[in-house]
Amino acid sequence: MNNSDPAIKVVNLVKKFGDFVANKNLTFEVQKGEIFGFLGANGAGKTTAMQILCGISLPTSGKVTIAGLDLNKHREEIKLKIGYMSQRFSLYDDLTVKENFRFFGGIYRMSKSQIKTATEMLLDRLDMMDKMNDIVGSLPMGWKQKLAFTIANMHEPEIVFLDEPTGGVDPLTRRRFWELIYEAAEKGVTVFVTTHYMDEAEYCNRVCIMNDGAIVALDAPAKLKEQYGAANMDEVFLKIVNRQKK
Amino acid sequence: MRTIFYIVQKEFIQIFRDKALLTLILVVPLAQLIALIYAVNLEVKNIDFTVVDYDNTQISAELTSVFDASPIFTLIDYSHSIEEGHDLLTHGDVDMIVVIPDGFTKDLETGNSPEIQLLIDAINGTSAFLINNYARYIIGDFNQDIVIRRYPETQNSGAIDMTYSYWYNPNLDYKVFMFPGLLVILISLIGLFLAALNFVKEKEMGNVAQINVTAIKKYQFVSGKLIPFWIIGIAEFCLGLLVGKIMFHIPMLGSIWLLLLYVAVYLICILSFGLFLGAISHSQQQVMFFTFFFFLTFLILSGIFTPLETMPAWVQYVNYLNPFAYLMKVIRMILLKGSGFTDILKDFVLLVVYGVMMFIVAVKSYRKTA
Amino acid sequence: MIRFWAFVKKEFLHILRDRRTLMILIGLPVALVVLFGYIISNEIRNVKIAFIDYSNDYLTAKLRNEILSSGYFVEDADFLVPAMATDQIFPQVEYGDIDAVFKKGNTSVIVIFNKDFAKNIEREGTAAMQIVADASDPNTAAILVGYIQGIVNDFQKSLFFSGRESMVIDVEPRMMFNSELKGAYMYVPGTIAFILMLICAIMTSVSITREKEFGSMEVLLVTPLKSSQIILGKLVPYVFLSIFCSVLIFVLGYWLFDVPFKGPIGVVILLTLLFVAIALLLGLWISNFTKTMEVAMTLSLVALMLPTLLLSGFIFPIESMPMFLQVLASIIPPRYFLEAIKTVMLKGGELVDVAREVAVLVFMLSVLVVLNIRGIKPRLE
Repeated sequence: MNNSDPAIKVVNLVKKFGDFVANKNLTFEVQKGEIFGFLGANGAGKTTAMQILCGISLPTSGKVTIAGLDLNKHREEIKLKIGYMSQRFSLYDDLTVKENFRFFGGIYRMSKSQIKTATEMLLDRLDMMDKMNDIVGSLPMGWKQKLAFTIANMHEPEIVFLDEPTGGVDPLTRRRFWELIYEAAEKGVTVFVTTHYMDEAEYCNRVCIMNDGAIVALDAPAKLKEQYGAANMDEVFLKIVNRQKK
Repeated sequence: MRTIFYIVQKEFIQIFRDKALLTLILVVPLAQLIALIYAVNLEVKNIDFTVVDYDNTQISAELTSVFDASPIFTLIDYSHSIEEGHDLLTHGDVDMIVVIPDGFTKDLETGNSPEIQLLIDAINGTSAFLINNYARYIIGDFNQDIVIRRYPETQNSGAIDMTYSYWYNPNLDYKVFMFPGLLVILISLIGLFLAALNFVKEKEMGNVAQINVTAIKKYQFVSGKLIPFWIIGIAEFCLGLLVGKIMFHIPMLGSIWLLLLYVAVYLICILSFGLFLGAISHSQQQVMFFTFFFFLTFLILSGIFTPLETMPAWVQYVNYLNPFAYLMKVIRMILLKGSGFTDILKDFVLLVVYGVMMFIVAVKSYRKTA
Repeated sequence: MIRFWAFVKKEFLHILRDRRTLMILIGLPVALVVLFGYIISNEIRNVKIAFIDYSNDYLTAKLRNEILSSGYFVEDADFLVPAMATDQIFPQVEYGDIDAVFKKGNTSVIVIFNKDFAKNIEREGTAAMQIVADASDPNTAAILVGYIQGIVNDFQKSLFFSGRESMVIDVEPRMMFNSELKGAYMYVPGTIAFILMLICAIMTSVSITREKEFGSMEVLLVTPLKSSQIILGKLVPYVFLSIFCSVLIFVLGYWLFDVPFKGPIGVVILLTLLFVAIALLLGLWISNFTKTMEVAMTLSLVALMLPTLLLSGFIFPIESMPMFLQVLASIIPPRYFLEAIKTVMLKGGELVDVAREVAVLVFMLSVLVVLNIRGIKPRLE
């Protein structure tokens, strides 16, 4: 894979559920090391698109290339190079922190010693060493999310997909979560994140706004604000959506 | 292999952490085995009957007392008319009415072939059949006695000295018959319900999505789900055998290792079936009803309490697809009769084929993509 | 009232939308009735038999023929070899082979004639034979031995009573209420009890627990609906569904297996409704103790379905059970429902004939009403 190749390349992606078109002809690219935001109201088609990119939903048509590999041909190889964290919290609530690390590490074919060092290092960085043997279900929501993100990055994927990762927590915790995302991006990990919090959009390098299954805007937050003459992303979003309605 | 190991490890931790589930898996089935073996009994032990004696002679009284004296018949009451007896039968107070007609003794003495009527409550056909058998036997004996009293010289004429022996279960103990059947229920419950529920629960909780984005192979995931319950199933089966041996002294004539080998294959088959049902269901409620449906159908067809010989011929063909039937037949053969490997070879081969097929179906039906 | 019916409508939609569950709820009674009706019969046909005939004379040949022509038995072909140069087929089992024969699992009974059977009958008036049955299935073994005994007895009579036939007591058995000994007669009422328990008790307890688990119970409780209305609204659809299924089972039983309807139909309806009410309240009561669907299902399964299947007299006669199970059986409602419905449907009993059962059911119903009224208030802690 060439270094200048995009991490994600999507051309004319369409997804239909019967008559309902969830994704209308999506085309975009995400560069390596970029934090790419996918914005839209509930039901705009964000999650569907992300599930296709992760390989857990099949596209109706279109061409998707992830980390230089064709999604239609190399679905399983791609899965080794990506990490995923979903909006429905997806660690095992009835396992301890350590057991979750061990399980997912094992699934991603890490060796025993790799798992051990990674677990200790990552927990140390999260300042959660003393929580190693706690049942995940007993931890507060914010901690669970940080853990889930860390575990999604444990096998050092090239790209991580975050599906509304910060749902249901207070702004301060969300802020801390984004610090983790920045840390990952600095190390060269590409971050693909869906959200409906417009303040979070500000943290992204570029955002893509979806409405009714189609891309209606795609650019850096600063440029979008300038283009629409808006003070923040919230306004940008409302202007775009209102214009669409007309 | 390592991937499978990590899933198995995770499942075991989860099962052992959930105390309610653990009790459900280990204690409840064994408790059921112990209690139910007394309930699942199709023996006819105690037949209540009434007599309508229109004859009212010494001979007719003798016949009544012959009935009453046998260990299975109990005289509840004399009835004055068939109608009165019929009322008792309708209420379920008696299972049989013996009607001795007026002039019974006279007909017997004058050689006019007297007739006795038996009115048997036949709603439960099996019981009715057995009651009829027993009653005829008693009347036959009584008849022979009368003739011999009358013509002593007939004592030895034309008598066929018939002895019979019941092999493998000389006391006709129903528990011996049902115990293997209950063991089949026990491990099939674990196989079908637990595996299916476990799978769907993980789907409902959303954890499966996390697994689906990994590069795990389908067969690895399905094996990882199957193996823990396979181990639990075998452990449970051994415990059940132990209970049978110690508490109920069930004969175990054949090779236990052969039986365990067979059960090991059976469990792969039935667990794959459960995981298949889990894979095609969307909620715990759905999978519950699915498994319930198959469980009952399989069980009734397997011949657990009615012999396969009484069923229509097509059932035999259907039973090629009924996992329960494979185990129901062979477990009784090995435990009760001591059948060996060559005796069960055909069933064994078929079960292996079925198990492999079912495993493939389970793997194929698990979708990593929506 | 309008609000209430809107709510009932919503509950109906929930049930109708889950097609698969609905399919099973309707498919299960159909499958059970058909299975029980077609498969479980009490007639044993074509059981494999083997003979060991050490005598092989005209009498044993005749007796063998009598046994085989009864229709109950067929000779196990595995143990037959045609004798050389004749068309005759001779059984080929030796006494020492019996164990091996049974272990193969096909032959269920072996009849052994001792040496010089006919000669002994002629000279000494008596001869010996033996029946060896595979009693790993004791009931079948007893029935098979019974069959053969009957055949041999008849055969014997022709020898023993020769010249005195007139002294034979004829036995005329009449199979009351079910002259053809059909399995369906016994299982149709049982299936109704079972299905009603499934729909009313399990579905109710699970669906109420589901609302609790997913937190939608709180949402319902803050609506202007009274909590009694909420509960009632949840129950109404199941009443309809269970009545639909009962009718389906009755019709199938009548149509496919001629299961009769001898007694007054009003009493059958009364009994069914009474039992539906009891089952619903049982399900409701169970949902008081459960927080997750998994637990609700397991509890209903163990506490309601198993007893209905095993202790109600559905399949296994209660009289044959040991005391502690009989006591247990006497407190479960389906037992009384079953007894009463059999009396009315199959035996043509009137209301007075089932007064005792109805009284017990009414008593159980009132106990459940009281228990549920107590449980209804602190439904949300």
